[in-house]
Amino acid sequence: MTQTAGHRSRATLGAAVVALVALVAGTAFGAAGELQQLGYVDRPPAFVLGDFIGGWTFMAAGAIAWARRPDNRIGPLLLAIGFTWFVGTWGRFPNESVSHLARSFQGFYEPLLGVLVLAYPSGRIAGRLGRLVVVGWLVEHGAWTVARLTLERPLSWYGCATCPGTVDALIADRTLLQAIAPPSLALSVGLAIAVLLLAARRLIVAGPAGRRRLAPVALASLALGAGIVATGGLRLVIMPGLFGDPRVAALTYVVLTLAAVAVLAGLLQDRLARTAVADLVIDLRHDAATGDADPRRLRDALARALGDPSVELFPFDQEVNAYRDASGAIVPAPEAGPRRALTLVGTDAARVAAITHDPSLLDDPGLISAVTAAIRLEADNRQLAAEVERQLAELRASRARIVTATDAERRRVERDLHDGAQQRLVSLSMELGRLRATAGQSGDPAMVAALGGLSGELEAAIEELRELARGILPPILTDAGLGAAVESLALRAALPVDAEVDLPGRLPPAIESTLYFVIAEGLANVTRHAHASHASVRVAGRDGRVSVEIEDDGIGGAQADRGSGLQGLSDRVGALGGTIRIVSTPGRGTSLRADLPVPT
Amino acid sequence: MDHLGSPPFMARRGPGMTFAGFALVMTLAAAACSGSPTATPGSTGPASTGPTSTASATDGGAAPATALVGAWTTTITKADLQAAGITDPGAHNENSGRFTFTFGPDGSWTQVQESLDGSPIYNPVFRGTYTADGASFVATTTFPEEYADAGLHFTWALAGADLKLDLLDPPDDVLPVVMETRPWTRTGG
Repeated sequence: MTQTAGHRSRATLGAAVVALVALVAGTAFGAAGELQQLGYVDRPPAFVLGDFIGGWTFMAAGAIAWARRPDNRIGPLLLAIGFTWFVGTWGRFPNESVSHLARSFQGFYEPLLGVLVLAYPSGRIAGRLGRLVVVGWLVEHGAWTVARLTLERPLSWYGCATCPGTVDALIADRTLLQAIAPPSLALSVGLAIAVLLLAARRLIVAGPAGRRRLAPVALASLALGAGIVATGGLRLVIMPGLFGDPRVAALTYVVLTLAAVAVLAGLLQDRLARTAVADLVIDLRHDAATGDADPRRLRDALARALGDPSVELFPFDQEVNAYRDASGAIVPAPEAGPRRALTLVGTDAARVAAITHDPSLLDDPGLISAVTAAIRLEADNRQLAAEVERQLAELRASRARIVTATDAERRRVERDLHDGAQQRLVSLSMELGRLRATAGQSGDPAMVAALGGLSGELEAAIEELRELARGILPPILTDAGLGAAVESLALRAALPVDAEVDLPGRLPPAIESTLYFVIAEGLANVTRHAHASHASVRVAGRDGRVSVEIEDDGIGGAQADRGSGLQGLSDRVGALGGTIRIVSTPGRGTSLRADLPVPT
Repeated sequence: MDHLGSPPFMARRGPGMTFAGFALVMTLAAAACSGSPTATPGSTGPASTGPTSTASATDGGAAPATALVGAWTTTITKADLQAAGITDPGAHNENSGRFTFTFGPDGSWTQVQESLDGSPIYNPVFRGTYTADGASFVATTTFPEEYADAGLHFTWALAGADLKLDLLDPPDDVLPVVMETRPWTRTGG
């Protein structure tokens, strides 16, 4: 189920509030019960304190668990254990009815501990047998409670204490209760042993990760179960006196408190696991940033995050539509086994990876979800980045093709003008000259003057045509290359220009023309805006790149986006993968630099 | 003593032993160890034999043993226990209240304890058998079962309508307070 962050936040807050209220109420309930025991010779202060610490530790652990994992039943269960722990302390409340109820219901934490042993850490008891044992224990304890409630009731519940029949009824009830007690205790001990065996089986069948996860609570719970069986069993058949032994009680306190602390430690361990997921995300980001997507590194990060050294990762290769192992070899689709669980990352339509791991990790679906979400997120990011990079490359190539095509068109137009219209105009001019000479010989001065005027107009048209062709693409650039074209620009400039061109050879036409127009526009800007007395042009090419730098000693303060004409050039340079940079400090001249890669 | 609270485990099993009951048992144990012929469990006659009226009961003008038959009541407060140096609240609860000691003509006895202030009493009823003569009796407990085969040796005397008890060889400081502080007043035949 998908849950929004806002909903989750409200749910967590609500659970935290409920847990806090339960903890406060439980603490007050327990403290009040324990205070009633102070002063009794069988309840020295250290004993009362130990009893309170034991119960309160369960409640505190439960409150933390509930607040942190509202969807997990372990928190409420721990709180219930802590609460029922304290029920018996009200057995000395100075009211026979309250005291009787408290004494009847005390001890319910025992089967609840059985639930904890079998349900930790998921909060659900796996297996029908486990559920049967726990339910049986709860029913047995419930039946015993009812028996005690009805057969051990205080004298005042019988009505008249000294009326005929009252004493006989009380004695009959108590005798019956005493008859019930041994088989009830035997059944309870048997169910406790069953819980122990089931807990042991959980440990045995769990893999390394499962054992590590279960160890804190399992060890304490085993000791706890042993305490139940030992004290109960010994009391039943062997050493009744041991039951009241304060050393046994003290040992039991220690074991039970350790059990609560172990559960809390287990929860903190889960928190560390969440931290490990964050580390996994960082590892994935690092791999993405460095391009080091070694599946073995990812597998190791995954093992750390899940706390399962046996975890195996099988990335899905979309190109071959198959899974690969850590070595990159194509493998059959991984499958779950008796002792291996399989978690698929992604969907059937968009598989990302498969993970095989310890089945016990399924007890913490939140952790599995977090890990798979991290992997999927990173896979999505990589796919997105690759798509963006592909589109960017396509865009660059498209822009470069446009520039190249434009230059080719310029070159064709310039050549057409040069070879076509210009040549015909030159031929026409020569014909006019010949006609004017003929008219001069025939003594027709009016005709000579008219033909002279036409010839001048024709020369002007030819010059304008040359200028037009030069603006489209100068023939010198096409014919002699960038060096000659730059020298031509320098010579025709309105101010002294030092030109220095250092190129190993001809550049690709698109780059040559781009650099030429950068230089031409740059020098035109110097002439128009810089108020400079001198300018320099340097062109250098090496290591697969070419740069041009135009500097002047003018007033500076130039800005590329203020009608300098450089914006269009910047787009043209960018289309070829290059950049343009302007440094123009007021009073310190202007420097224009363009860098372009040179395709090999 | 019954456990009130949480651990040790299986604390719920079995009705708890009262402080008075505990004292009763200790008394019997002490009596057994001291070799008192009247305090040993084996010295008690069967319930069906009823109270005996021995020669000593008639010597010296003592009341016949049948005079013990009937219901006798006394009230012990927590202040009485405190004045006797008993400070444990548990002992106060378990040993204060209105006690009704009933001796049957068939040799059975019953003691019922009612709380004066609602404090819990975990074993408000004891029952057993007794043998008596004109000046003393031995009470053997049969209920609660865990206190069976126990016996206490008392001397008794009538003072008008009241019964005065004297517990011989008291095992502790508590039981004499209950039995001896105030006379027992006859409340039933």
